[in-house]
Amino acid sequence: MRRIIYQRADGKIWIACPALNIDDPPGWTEADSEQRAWDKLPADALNPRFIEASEVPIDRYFRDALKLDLTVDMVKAKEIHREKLRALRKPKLAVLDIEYMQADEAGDVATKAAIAVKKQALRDVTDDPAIAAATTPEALKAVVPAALLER
Amino acid sequence: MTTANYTRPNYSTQSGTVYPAGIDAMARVFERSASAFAPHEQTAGSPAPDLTVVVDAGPVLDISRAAPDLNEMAQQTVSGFTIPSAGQSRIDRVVINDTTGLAERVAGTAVTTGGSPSAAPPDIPARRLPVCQVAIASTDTAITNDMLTDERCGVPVKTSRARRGATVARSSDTILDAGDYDRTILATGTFTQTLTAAAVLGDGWYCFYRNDGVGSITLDPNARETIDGATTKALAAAQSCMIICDGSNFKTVGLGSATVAATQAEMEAGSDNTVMATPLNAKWAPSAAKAFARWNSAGTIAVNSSINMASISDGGVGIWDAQIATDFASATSYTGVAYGGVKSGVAPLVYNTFIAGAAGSFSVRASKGDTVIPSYADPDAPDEIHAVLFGDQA
Repeated sequence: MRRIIYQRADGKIWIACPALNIDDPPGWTEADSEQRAWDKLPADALNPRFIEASEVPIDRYFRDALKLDLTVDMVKAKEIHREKLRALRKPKLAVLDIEYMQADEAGDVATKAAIAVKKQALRDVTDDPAIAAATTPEALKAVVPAALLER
Repeated sequence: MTTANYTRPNYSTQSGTVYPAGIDAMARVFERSASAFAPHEQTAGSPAPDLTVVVDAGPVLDISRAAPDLNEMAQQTVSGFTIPSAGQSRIDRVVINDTTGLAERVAGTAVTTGGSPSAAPPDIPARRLPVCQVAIASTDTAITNDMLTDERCGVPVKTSRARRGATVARSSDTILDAGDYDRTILATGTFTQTLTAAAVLGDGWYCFYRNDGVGSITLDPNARETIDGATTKALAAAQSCMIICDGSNFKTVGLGSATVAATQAEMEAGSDNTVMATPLNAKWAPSAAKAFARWNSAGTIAVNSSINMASISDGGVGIWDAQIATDFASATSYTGVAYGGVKSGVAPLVYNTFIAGAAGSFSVRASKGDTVIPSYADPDAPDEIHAVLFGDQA
């Protein structure tokens, strides 16, 4: 069954999937469901149009950067990717914070300096030049700085 | 009375012997029809006439019973006539009750003599056959033949066929008797309905009986007679049946309840026990889910199963809005629950929030459970969201 893509007043892109109900009357068709979904679109739905289900991206990594023409807004996508990187580094920073405190209690200056370098590398992951340089969603998603890959 | 061979009397052609004999024979042939319920002035008593009308004997063919019967009614005297006030006149009627065969007076309306309008006879009541009009003036002192206008229809009075099968409303006990043969009793209230002895009613007597109210009617045959093998039979509200008599006892046939389907309002109220829930109206019961949906929460959004939904809209990560096919009465007239499910059976890992937004739509939001300030997130698992709604539909 086709989908309906539209934008709402808040700028979000919505994709409606018509329902074929258990209790729909005999003879009810997918076309009837599509029409019903169309008729029941929110009052603030802008520029609605039918699209094929196969056109809807399955990978929802950049779902919130989707545009009405089904392409990805790369500015929004880069911010989404940075948020994902921040989420990935958060537990690593927490571990390093503990290790740093332990080294400090032991007076281990060398270890403290090494940890400081690692933490700075993690802080810098969102500034990775590859992020700014990425021109496609696929290239952007592939940018995972080395600091995040270390144990 | 005996009868005779009818030969039309003819004074011009018949002999002096044949002609009067023919008149005698003719009178014998005509007598039964001509004299039946014939009205005339009072001839008995002193003084005669008086303020009564005599109605001669006549037959009533009673077909209101299982076995039709010919009832010979004796001569009757109809009383109750009064002299109008000075300067007034009135026309009354005498009628025969086609059920009982009894003659009755129907009073007219007195009017000023010579005024306008002039006196008119009263209407003939339902289930009555006319006998005569009685014109009475204020100057009269007795009813004489010259005041009577014969209105008989020339046919024997009988209980008309229309009487059979008539409906009779009843809110308290009036014993079911021979006269109720083929009738439909529409009973209301709560009472015990007694029945005439089966031997009196006879084999083949029947009537139809419906509890047309909300109370309970108990059918109670005479003495130790039974109905459906028991001494009494209760008819609940809206139940109806045919009661048949075999001459010894009674049985019901087709005992059942009304098949009137409950309205949406009656289903929503959930308090009426006299109407029926049907496959169509069951969805309006308070206990029934008014809408349901199960859809993918990952990958391409797809509605996997639903009731009364128009669409599920994916508004971004962790955001879904649902449009309802038949709206609820208002945004506050329903409630629902949404939760995550996993096809593989793994326990849900996300918190889902149900928001009743409007009469025709609701929202579901999902977020990771470990965030202090919730931010919407697509769940890793479950891979399905379920929502069930209850409430009052428009």
